[in-house]
Amino acid sequence: MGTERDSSTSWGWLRVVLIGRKPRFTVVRIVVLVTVVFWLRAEVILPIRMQGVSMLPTYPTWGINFVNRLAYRNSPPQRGDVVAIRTSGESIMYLKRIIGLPGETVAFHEGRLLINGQAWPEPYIKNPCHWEMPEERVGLDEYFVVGDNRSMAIEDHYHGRMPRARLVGRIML
Amino acid sequence: MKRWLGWLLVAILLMGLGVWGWRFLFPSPEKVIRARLNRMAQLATFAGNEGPLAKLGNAEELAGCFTSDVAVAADSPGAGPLTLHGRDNLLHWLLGVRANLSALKVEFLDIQVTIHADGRTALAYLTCKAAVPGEPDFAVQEFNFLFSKTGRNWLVYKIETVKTLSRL
Repeated sequence: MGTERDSSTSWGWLRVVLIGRKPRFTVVRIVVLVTVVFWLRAEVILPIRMQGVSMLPTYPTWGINFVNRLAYRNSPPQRGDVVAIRTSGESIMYLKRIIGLPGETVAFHEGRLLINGQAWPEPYIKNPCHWEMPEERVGLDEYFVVGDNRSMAIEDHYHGRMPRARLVGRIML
Repeated sequence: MKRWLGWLLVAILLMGLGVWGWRFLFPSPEKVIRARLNRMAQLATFAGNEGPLAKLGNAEELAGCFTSDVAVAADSPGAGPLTLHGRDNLLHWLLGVRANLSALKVEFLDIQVTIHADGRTALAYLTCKAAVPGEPDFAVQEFNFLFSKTGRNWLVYKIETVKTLSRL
């Protein structure tokens, strides 16, 4: 009898840990939690695993971050924002910094960023460079993006104009 | 009442099996194209220990997924432009890739298939990820794969690059 009571007590403890005192509420809680997580991922915050050297040294070659999908719902993207850019989907995205806004011209001369012909400070750049890029006009529904790793040759660094529709959101961390 | 419910369940089950069987035997063009793309990614992937016969066989099977007059115009960052015409040239290039790289893993991600109104041509817009195992970086490029229906097969007749970021 004592043994039976012991085993039933231990099962009761395990049962409480696994499915709670009220299984029905546990099921409801799980359903709500899963729904909320899926909704958050689809509409609000997208967790990402970063890989690559384009945003060094601001972001390491490997790391975890989050994309705020709501960042540009009520306000337009700003220069200096680090954003996620979709490809044909969201399995792989580019992480770049916005340097040119719609209608502006963007150029690089001796490594310095020129916006509408005027030098523009970039405090986030740690590696000085000698990039040269002729002036390029950004379309009215476009942004000019580039990575922070200017120690790379400009030919090896993927950068350019992207339509607003490709913007997934702003990087949070 | 119980007997009636039982027959209803059997009928629903049979209908479900019928629909599944129909879809299995006569898949939609989109499903066929997706399956073909997945097979192409498998064939483009190779390990370091791939034997010479397997190398040739896989490259030939991959080339067989294209029309004889296929046109490839790719321009990937870091890899430079690539223009190829014809299946034979493509096969030659595929064998060159297998000879020059120790291994390669190719994935086609986020595939969007559009069947054109004529029902004989289709467009697959996808992101290609290619990585050499063991290396930290990988190549990413968006492509349009244009398919045409030749007999019962959907074959690629054109590959063109989709630029994520544009430059003048």
